[in-house]
Amino acid sequence: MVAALAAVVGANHVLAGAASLAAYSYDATGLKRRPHAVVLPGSAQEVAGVVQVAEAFGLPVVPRGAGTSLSGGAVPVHGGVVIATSRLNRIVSFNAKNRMVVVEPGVTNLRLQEFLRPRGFFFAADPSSYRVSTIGGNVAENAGGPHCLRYGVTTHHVLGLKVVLAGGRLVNLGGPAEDWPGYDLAGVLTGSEGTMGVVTEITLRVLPLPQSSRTFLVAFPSVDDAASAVSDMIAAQLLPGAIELMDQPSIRLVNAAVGAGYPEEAGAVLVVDLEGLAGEVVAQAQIMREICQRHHAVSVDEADDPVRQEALWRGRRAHYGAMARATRTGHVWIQDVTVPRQHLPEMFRRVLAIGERYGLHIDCAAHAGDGNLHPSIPFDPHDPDELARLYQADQEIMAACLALGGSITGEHGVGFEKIENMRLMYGPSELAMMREVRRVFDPHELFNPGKAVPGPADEKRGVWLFAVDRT
Amino acid sequence: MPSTELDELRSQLGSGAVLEGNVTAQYAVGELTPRAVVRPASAEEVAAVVKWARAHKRQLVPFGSGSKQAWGPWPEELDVVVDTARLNRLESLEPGNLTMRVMAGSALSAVQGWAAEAGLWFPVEFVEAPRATLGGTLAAGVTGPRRLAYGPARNWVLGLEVVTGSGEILHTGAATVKNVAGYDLTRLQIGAWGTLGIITAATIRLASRPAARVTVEAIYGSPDLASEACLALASHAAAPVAIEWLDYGAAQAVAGMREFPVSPGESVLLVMFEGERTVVDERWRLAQEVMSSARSVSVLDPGAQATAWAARYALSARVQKSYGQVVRLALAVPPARFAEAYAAAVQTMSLFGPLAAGGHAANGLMDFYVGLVGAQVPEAVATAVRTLRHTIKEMSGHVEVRSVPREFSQAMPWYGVRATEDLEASLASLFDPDVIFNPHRRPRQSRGR
Ligand SMILES: Cc1cc2nc3c(=O)[nH]c(=O)nc-3n(C[C@H](O)[C@H](O)[C@H](O)COP(=O)(O)OP(=O)(O)OC[C@H]3O[C@@H](n4cnc5c(N)ncnc54)[C@H](O)[C@@H]3O)c2cc1C
Repeated sequence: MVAALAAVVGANHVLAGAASLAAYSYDATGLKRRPHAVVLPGSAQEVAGVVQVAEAFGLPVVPRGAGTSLSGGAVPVHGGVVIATSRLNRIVSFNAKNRMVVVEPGVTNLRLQEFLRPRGFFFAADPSSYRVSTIGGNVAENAGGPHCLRYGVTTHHVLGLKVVLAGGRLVNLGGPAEDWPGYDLAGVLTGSEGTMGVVTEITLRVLPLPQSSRTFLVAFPSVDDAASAVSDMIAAQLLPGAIELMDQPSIRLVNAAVGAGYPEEAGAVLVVDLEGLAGEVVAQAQIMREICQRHHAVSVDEADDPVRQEALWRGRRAHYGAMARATRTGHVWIQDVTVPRQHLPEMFRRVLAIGERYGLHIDCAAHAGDGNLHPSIPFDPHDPDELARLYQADQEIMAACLALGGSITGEHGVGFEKIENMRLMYGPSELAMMREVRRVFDPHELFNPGKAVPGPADEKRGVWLFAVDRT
Repeated sequence: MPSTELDELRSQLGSGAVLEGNVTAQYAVGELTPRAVVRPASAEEVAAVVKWARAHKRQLVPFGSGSKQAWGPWPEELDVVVDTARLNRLESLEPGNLTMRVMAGSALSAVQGWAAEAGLWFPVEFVEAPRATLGGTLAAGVTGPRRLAYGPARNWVLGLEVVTGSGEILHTGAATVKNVAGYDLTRLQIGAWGTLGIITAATIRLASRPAARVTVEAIYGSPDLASEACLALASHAAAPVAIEWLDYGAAQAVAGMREFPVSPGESVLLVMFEGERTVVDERWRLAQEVMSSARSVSVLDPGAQATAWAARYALSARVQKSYGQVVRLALAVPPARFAEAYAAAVQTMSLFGPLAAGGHAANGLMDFYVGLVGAQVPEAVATAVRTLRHTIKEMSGHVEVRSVPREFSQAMPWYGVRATEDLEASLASLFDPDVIFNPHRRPRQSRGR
């Protein structure tokens, strides 16, 4: 098989040594499964060729960007051929008049943003992993990020996709003009977690940079106050670029880790970006301050030059990394529940209560303006008792979110890790329909099997936590 | 249709919910009167209707206000119309989440009314007919001029309740603004023209209701100059919410409502700014720096603003009225090719009669109307459409035929050939295995029967 793959992409672009296979066996969840081979194709045609070879050998195909998935999306749970997109990394074209950029999937979010910024534009999705995560991975996960509050998530900006389907068939879905005729196939592929095909080119609508932006760091006595302030900002129809929330343990963590300089005694902080015309930002800032005051804000720090703005953001962006480094084991379980925004304060209360009940330490950071919480729980994979408690707590957090009308994942995806939990959110009819929709694109479940949508109920799979690598 | 067949439905929905005879004439689709009209009041009743249709091999045409029934191919037969008018309740309004759950037969005007009570509004509009229902608008996947600022209809829907062709009630999405659990079946339904199910309810996002509005009317010497201005405005900090372009023919067609001061060959732009009062004024002042190539630029007073937009919204109706026989095309290109696409359309279609065009120029979207003068041959029009489609395809765009007179329907190449038609056909067969819904709108390869 290695020879057949080498015939398609060249021998130096096929990796089959033990060390390479290990390197491509995991993503940011910690779960590990070795692929049979890893290939680094350099063109859509090569991707098609690789897909044909894998099919001929009866092996699954697992597309992979930067491997930052937090749901096990990039882990080859059934082995197979990993198609890494690192060589598909060209910015193909950009047209300012069309507000449109065409990229290959391996282009990182950061590189695209750095390309667009001097040209006066940006791409709306800015996941906290933006430095390394790829546009292909962003599309496959329908990634969000802090600024999706104002500008929408990835799918809102995808105009067209080139995709390699089963049999190596290369298709264009959507395209560079709006209102592409027929069903929104690009919309179905976006967020499909690599289970329908390999995206080889992406046409995005990009947005003009705002004229003015101002960043605020607001400290509150408690999470409850901060979350209530967020709810009020939404209800007041303020439209900030971003509203991010961090609780006290998170504040102390990032202060220690990167010298974020957030107020140590605060129960919670909000990082808020206001954007638009200069006058508009001033007017919005006034309303925002009043709301924060009403909710007992203790301090407001602000910045309008990029360097200081970045400094205020530093702590928020460093949260996950700091957490992983601070734990003994390097393992952190990050939840991604989303609730209707009027329930944000209540959801925080429930999460903290669940943590107490199970004797677990929970740090909370949130894309609060979107109602998207990331309770983060450090854990030791060698401690069966802790794992069992974590599992229970995790189930209860999801149940609490669903009871409030929420979603079990706002941006990280289902992957392998939440696949069984899909049954908590959807009924058998919806799940059956999703399975069938997948088969329209991928009749033999060749692409990324075992992800996104569970099989019929009797086909229970293992609980991911207990499959985490223990070395 | 044997009356016992309908009696089954009457026993399930109540006799008042099943109409036959003269009253069904107001539900005509493509000049065909349905044999019966059913008026379910819940998703369960819609499901019952679908199961009935399956059992009796009847086809169903979902029907909102009827405003877009004349779009797309004319049906060859018409069994039963499913009127969604009784699916018209507000289920919940959450100002704290900026969302609303509403039944799909609700008129857009009602949706706006409910939203307004909370100081909000739903930025998906169907300006040609405010009576249009939410379900019909989402099924057609249309939206109005403000899509420049707010994006297409798909971006404003978080979840749907849909009855499939097997009579199952599906719930897609969630009431959260972010949700990536499972495949996005919501977007798939929007713009599917009712071929993948009957939408019975939707959870929609709402936006802040702008306090003030200013419209700038500008006249440009040519479509090229107008288009250049649109492109500049679309990425300018002034951030207009809508930029509508009208050609001379369109201005003529709406002349009774508003006299746009244009001469042949010139173009009109209506540029709308919304937001807080002070901000709106700042916006349009800023915008002037990229509008200097206009022959004239004027800020409309409130009365003129209202009539200018009313005239824009009435374009389709006015064209229909003044031209009689009309072929309506929908052109879409990358925005920078807009003027070029217009020139190509004019060149290809002008032999048939008078032309009019208007559109969301900064989005690259154009409605193009061709008046048919004298006895035109359908095949000749069809050939011209194919030629135009080819030209527009070279510009990375596409052409859809929106509506034609009945005798032209058969000959018309309604849609271009798409390489993914087999995938679409499979999806249609999945959601509607027995070809019950809107058979005349199905992807060709799956039409069956
Ligand atoms: C510190 C940290 C912070 C994060 N913050 C955010 C955040 O704010 N918002 C957010 O949404 N996510 C966030 N994530 C999650 C993750 O970064 C995103 O899901 C990201 O989009 C994944 O991109 P990737 O290139 O790493 O993809 P991978 O992890 O390599 O793959 C993710 C999925 O996409 C599929 N895939 C990748 N490329 C292709 C392709 N070309 N064609 C088809 N399928 C493909 C894979 O099969 C897999 O299922 C974060 C992760 C980390 C570690």
